[in-house]
This record gives sequence, C-alpha cells and structure tokens, in this order.
Amino acid sequence: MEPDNHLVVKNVVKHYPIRKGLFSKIVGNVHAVDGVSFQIDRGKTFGLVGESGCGKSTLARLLMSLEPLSGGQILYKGQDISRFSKKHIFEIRRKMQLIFQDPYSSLNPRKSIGHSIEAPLVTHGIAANRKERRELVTQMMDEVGLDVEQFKRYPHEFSGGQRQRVCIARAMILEPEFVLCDEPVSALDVSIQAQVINLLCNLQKKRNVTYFFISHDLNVVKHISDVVAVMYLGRIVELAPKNVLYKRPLHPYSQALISSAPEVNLKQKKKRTVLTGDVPSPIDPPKGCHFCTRCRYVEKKCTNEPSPELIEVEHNHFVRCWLY
Amino acid sequence: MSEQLTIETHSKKKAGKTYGLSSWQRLRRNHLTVVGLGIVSLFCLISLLAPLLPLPDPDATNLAQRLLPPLSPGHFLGTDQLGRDMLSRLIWGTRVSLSVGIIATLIASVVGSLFGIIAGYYGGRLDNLLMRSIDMLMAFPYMLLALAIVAALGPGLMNALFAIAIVNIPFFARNVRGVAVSQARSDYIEAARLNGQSDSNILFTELLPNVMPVIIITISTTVGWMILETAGLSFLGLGAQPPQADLGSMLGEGRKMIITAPHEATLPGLVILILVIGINLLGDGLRDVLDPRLKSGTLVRPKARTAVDPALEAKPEEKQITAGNKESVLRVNELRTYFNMGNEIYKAVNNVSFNLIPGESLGIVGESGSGKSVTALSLMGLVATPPGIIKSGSICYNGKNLVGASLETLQKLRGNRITYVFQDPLTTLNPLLTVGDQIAETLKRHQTCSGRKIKDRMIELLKQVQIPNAEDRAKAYPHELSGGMRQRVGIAMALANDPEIIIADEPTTALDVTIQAQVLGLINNLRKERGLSLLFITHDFGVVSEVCDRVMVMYAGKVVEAGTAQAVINSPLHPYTRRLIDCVPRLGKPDKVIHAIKGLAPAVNDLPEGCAFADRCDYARAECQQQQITITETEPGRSVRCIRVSKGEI
Repeated sequence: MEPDNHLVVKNVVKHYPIRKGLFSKIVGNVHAVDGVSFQIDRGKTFGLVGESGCGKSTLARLLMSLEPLSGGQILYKGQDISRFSKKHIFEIRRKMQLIFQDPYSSLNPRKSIGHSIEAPLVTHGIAANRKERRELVTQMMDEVGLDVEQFKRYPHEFSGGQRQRVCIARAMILEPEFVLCDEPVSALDVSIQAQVINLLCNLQKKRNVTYFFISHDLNVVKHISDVVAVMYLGRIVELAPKNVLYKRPLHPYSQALISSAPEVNLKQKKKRTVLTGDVPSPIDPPKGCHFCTRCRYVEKKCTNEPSPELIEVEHNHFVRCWLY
Repeated sequence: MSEQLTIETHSKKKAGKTYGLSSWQRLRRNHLTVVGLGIVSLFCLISLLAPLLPLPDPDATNLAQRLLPPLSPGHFLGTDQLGRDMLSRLIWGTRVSLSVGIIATLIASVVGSLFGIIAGYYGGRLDNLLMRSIDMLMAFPYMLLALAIVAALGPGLMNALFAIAIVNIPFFARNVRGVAVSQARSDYIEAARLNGQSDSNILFTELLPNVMPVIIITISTTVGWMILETAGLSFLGLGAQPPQADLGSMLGEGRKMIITAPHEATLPGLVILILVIGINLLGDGLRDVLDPRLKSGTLVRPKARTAVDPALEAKPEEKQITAGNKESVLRVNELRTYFNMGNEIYKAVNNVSFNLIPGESLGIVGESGSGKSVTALSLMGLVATPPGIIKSGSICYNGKNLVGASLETLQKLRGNRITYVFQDPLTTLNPLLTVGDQIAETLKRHQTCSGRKIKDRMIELLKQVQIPNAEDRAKAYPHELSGGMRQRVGIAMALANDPEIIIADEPTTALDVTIQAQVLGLINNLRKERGLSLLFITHDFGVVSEVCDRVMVMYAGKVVEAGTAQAVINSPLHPYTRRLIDCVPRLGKPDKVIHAIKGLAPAVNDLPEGCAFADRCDYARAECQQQQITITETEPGRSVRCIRVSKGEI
C-alpha cells in the first residue's frame, strides 16, 4: 500500500434492518450505504456530494466508528479501524475528529464555550495541568478567530458562524490528522459560509489535515475539495479530481446534478437537464443501476443486469455506468 | 418565519446584558407567584423557627383544659381533645408535613430522574426494561399502592414517607426520560462521545444539566401533592403515630370532634389548604419561568392579525387611497414592523417601500435577520403578535390600504387573492389531513360550489403542479410524500383560487438541487402562464437570476439596493450586494480565495446611526455613520442606499 493513502475505504456496506410485528421479525433492509470504496491522501480534501437520503451522513457515522459496519473495511493508515476495540477507538479519535452540520445542537447549551473546547483535552489527558490546558484553548480560540475574552460565554450568546468556529476549535484542539466535516456550512448565511470555508482552508494549510467534506452544495464542494465523489442512493456513481468532474461529468446523474445548480449568471442561461421524478426508496432500490428510474439514457441492460462496477475510464476518473 | 427565529437568536445573543428580563424579574412579574412565594416562605420560616418560638410542648396533655375554643387565654387557637395547645401542634405539625413532603419529593426526584436519564440515554433494551417496570408501578391505583406499601412496612411516618416517594417515582422517571431521549440524540452528546468521554461522564456533566429544568419543574409541581398524600396517609392513621403532631393526623383526630369542637379539624384543614395553594402557585410560576417555550413572556396564541399601531388603525373612510397607482398590484410604502421583546425594540422591517407590477417577479434577497420574511408576512398581517407590531406605513392593494384593515378583509384576501408558499412544506401542511383535503379546504373557504366540482378542481390543481397519479396522491398524507412533492402541494394550494399575487418565502431552500431545479421551473412556468405577480424571497442570487425580473437587496431591515435582476447582479452598486454575490464560490469560475464579508450583521435592536453595513464595508468612512443614508435613484428603476452613490461618486 502506498504510504500516501491516509484513509482507504473498501466496499463498505451498511444495512439497517426494518423490523415489524410482535417478534420484531426482520422484513427488509434499508440499504443506506451499499458498497462504497475510495481512498484519501494525506493533507487533501475529499468532497462528497449527494442529495438528502443518499447515505452520505451514514457514511460519515461509519467512518467515525459511531456505528458498526455491515460489511467492508475502513483502513486508517493501514489499520482496519472497523474491527477496533473500544480502547483503540478511543485512541484513534484523537486523530479523527468530526465537525457537525448544526452548530446550534452540537454545543452543550449549559457549558461555556471555553469548557466545550477544553473538554477533549481533559478526556485525553493532554496537557499537564489546568493552566497549560487553558493556554492551549486560548491559542486555539485565537486561531479560529474567537475573542479569548469569550471563554466563559455560553453558546446562546453567539451567532451561528461563531458557534461553528467553536466547533472547529473543539475538533482541532486535539491536533487531529483527519477531520470529517458533515455539511459544516449548510446552516450558515452565505456571507458567514465564506468566512468558515476560508477558516477551514487556512487550518488545512497550517496543519496538513485531511478533510472528508460532505455537502449538498456543489459550489462549496468544488471550492474546497481536491477530489470529488458523487453519491446516489448508497453508491458512489462518479469519482474524479474536481476540475475533471465539474468540467466533464460522465455519469448522467452527475451531469444532471451539476447542471441543476442555480448560477449567478444572467448573460447566458445554461441548458439544463432537469431530472424527473424522485429518488427511489433505499428500502427497495432498483435492481440494476440505482439511477435507472430517472436516467435519460436508460436501456434494458440498466434495469435487468446488476449494476456496473465503478470503473476507471480515464486516469483517476471513475464512473459507474454502462455507457463507459 | 425563519426571520423571527433569527431575531430570537439575536436577542439571545445579548442575553447576558440586556435581553428581556432575568428569571427573577419574570418570576416577580407574576403576582400570584409572588403570593405563593410569600406563603411558602412564611410557612418554611415558621417551621424552621418552631423550636425557638415560645410555644408550649405540643405533646403535653392537660385534660382539665380540653377542647378550649380559639382565642382562649393562654391558648390562642384553643386546645384539642387531650388539652394540647392547637397553635403549637399546628406549627410542629406543619414542620413535620412540610419536611416529609420535601424529603419524599427529593427521594422520588433523585431515584426517578436517575431511572429516566439512564433509560433515555441508553435507550434500547435497558430503556424498555426500566420503563416497563415504571409502567408496572403506575398500573396500580395510586393511593392503593401507597396503602399497600405502608401495610407491608407497618404504619409510621418514615414508612409513609417511603411509600409516597416510591409512588411518585414514575412521574419523575417519565418526565425526565422524555427530555433525556431527545437530548441524548443531539449532536453535542455525540460530540462528547467522539471526544472519548465515558458514559457516566456524559450522563452527569453533559446530559444532566440539560434535563435539570424539567426535574425542577416536576419537583415544584409535586411537592404540594406529596404533602397532601402524606396528610392523607396520616389521616387514615398510617402515617404519623400519636402523639406526634402532623397536619393529616390532626385532621383525623379532629374529625371525631367535628360537632363539638369544629376548630380542631378546621384549623389543620385550613393550614393544609393554604400551604398547598401556596406551593402550587409558586410551582406554576417556576414552571413558567423555566419552561423554554414560555421564555419570550407568556404562552399566548398569536392573534389572527398582526397588531397595528393605534394611530394607523384605519377609519373606514380613510382607507381608500385615491392616488392608486394603476401600474402596481401592490404598493408598499414606508413599512415598519417592529418586535417588542422585553425592554428591547427589534426593528425587523425599517422603512421598506416597493412596488409590485402585474405579472412581474420581484425578488427580495437578504441573509437571516435582514427582515425579508417579516416584510412578506407583514403584507397580510401574518407577523405573530405579540411581539410583532406594524408601526407605520401603508400597503396598498387594489386601492385599499391593508395596514389597519379589518381581519375580515384580510381573511378574504389570504389564500385567495394573495397567497403564500412557505419554506418547509412539512411544517405548513397539516399532518393529519390528506393533501387533497387540504387543497379542497382552501377552495371551499373562498368559493361556493358543489363538492364534486371542488374535487375536480383539486385534482386538476395537482395535475397542474405535475404530480403524477394525481387522483391517488390526493389521498396521501403529507409524510407519505417527498419534499419536492410536498412543495408542489404547497404551490397547488397557493394557486387554488387563481390569486393575483403569490408570495414565496424561500420555497426551494429545503429542497435538493435537482428537485429545486424542478420546482423553480414549475413556478416560473405557472407564473408566466397565468400572468401572476410573484414576490420571491431568497438568500440565493443564483435562484434570483433564475426566476426574478427585479430584485431588492435587504440588510438589517432596510432595502440597500433595488433594480432589475440583470443590472443588480451584473453591476452591483452597493458594497454589500457586491460582496454578497462575490462570497459564494461559483461553479463556472476558477477557484480563488473567496472574499468573505468580515464581521457579523448588526442586531436590529441596536442599529448604528447611519449605514448599518459600515462596520463591514471596505469603503466605509466617518460620515457613513453620522447621518441617515437615503436611498437614491441612480436611473429609472434602480436605486441604491450608499453615501458614495448619493454623493455622485459612483
């Protein structure tokens, strides 16, 4: 294995059983994540786009070992963390941190923000004493652009953007190598979004962290990522370096997704492919290609045969479609 | 809607300093609570001081002086059938009852809350096990269970106390579990877990402080009840044993003498009554203060129409505005909508004027807190009152001023001539009615025709918004539809009565991009087909360029720039507009560092004099904040509120 691969995800599957009746008989499965594989290099940003219900948040929970896998492997620096014991997970969490989407619910309303940022240091026994810890916290607060004076303030006294800075500080204070950002700017106003994105970029440059960046906002993902994956109904349908993907999307779903994004541009109205219909239920996904119910190019093969694999059609450009 | 929430958060931001009233002040504002507090503190004080007061021994019998009436010399409240001093016994009895009630409550609250918090946090099997045992406890009739426990343990004050405590555990367990379940699923608990905190650590340092208000509320409402129950058990002879004085046992003893010496039963009865009333009044007050839903003041249903400054309440003859502009369906002039919260005034909409031309689509762009949604809601008097109030301005529709118009007038227009499409269709649709029924309801409200016709029209509407299998989908409940489908239903409802104006408040913000594209296309087509006027509220300039002919940009309650969408987007004049467009990364453009707008938008209860954007503006200079900046027309149909424009610099 190349030493560069920071995180390798191999064919990860997560099914949630649906139970019914008196004896909780399993009547079906929600195929939340259905065979996802990719790898992320150290210090790079891997962007994941997809619409609601496509399984991106479930994938995030799996990567953070918040839930057990139904199948597959997650290799962090070559170690399979999905088989880790509790003790090992505790240790790995120093290196892997998460930034939540909602800065309102992810901070304990009854804890001052300083204490929230300090908490990880306490649990992991970093810094010898209180004074040292405080010093680290103030440094961190300064780094994310919070006023050190605000140490004792409570979350309700802050705006969404400032709260997200607190969350970033809390995630970064352990000096993690891998940070998973689950829609970190979706709940923020546009002008504040830009501040937070810039902050994340700066932190990455300074600390050489790897980001796994989830968003439904194509613009944001494009701005921050090096490699982008498009997810649809539990599967990655296309994966490529961002410039390639945005310039020449190959999968019909990626094409539709990219052309759907509203653009600030009045001079030339772009031609768009508007998808019809809705995403099928992950309880009962289409048999063949998951996208076949909405695809313009659908053929017999798509619905009858099992879905195609993610294949490399050109250097580093992977697509899951019979067209290629 | 979202706007109002932001105002809330803005207000909370200042909580430490000025926002509203402190808990103590809120408590004091409720007179009944103050009475309750007075009663409870008086009883507590007397009970505490009982050993120090010059009282005769409550247990000393003196048969020579039995059953003395109140106001007898030496015995202010008389004596009982054994000649014991009533006053002394009442005070000592209160002391016993109060302490038993409080201790029982504490035991029940600690045990019950522990059950609740553990069940709520761990969930699953443990939750089932704990809560089912609690259910079993609750399945027994309440008093019977207490009696059974005392019967098993034997009579006595301590046993009565335990019985009462055990009987009350379920209340705490259930209340606390309910809150703990919702809190345990929130992100901050997950974050603590990700930091590697142990379960017990999370339970007691993260979760407990957040369920504490519920525990306190439950305590405050249970103490009175507990005192009554202890009295009940003692009354039956199962609690305090003679000669110990306790309000319940005194009542029981006095009952036998009710004819000959009525005071012996009446006095302890009165004391129980007053004490429990006091505790309950205080408890209710505490609950009101601690209950987050009541934070903004009182739990009042908003009025059906936004309050209007008394000076603006229309007198019928003045309602007509003669200079009706033929070119506009809706003309808003100097509209001001404020929120009065505590001692603060939030100027959510601060002097907004605009014109809606027939058939055009006007966009209002702004960030949260800019006043865009409140502007839209003000038009039909839909801003919640309290705390909202329309302070000034006029809204002219068809020659009529809607500010100060009667509720009846507005109700005739709402959902009929002027309709709304809201952001989140899941919360605006009634979950218990099928979507077809809800559309039919809108039709029935404004049209008189047969049920058959209404049904046909309803199906037709669903078809118009491109819902496949309209007949079947009409029978679906909102939760059975996807977000995009629900929003289509919302649009169908807005279209139902062939309105003139549709006000769409971020109708696609909650939707996925591919669905957003569908819905925007639908709105655009329907609008053009029917020649509707559309007021489109959004924060996204991309959406604006998609659907709007004209656009106005709002910042801190004021319009800072207005003009055709093309002009504003291609050559924004106000620094805020320019920065707002620039700070969104774009698909077509190469990546560069995005220029974020520094700082935060000001809170609308604390606006600076002059330009509200000056603190964040690159071109700001001293005079920006010294005077009110007027909005200047740069060319017909284009206006900007910036000092550089009004001075002719750009």
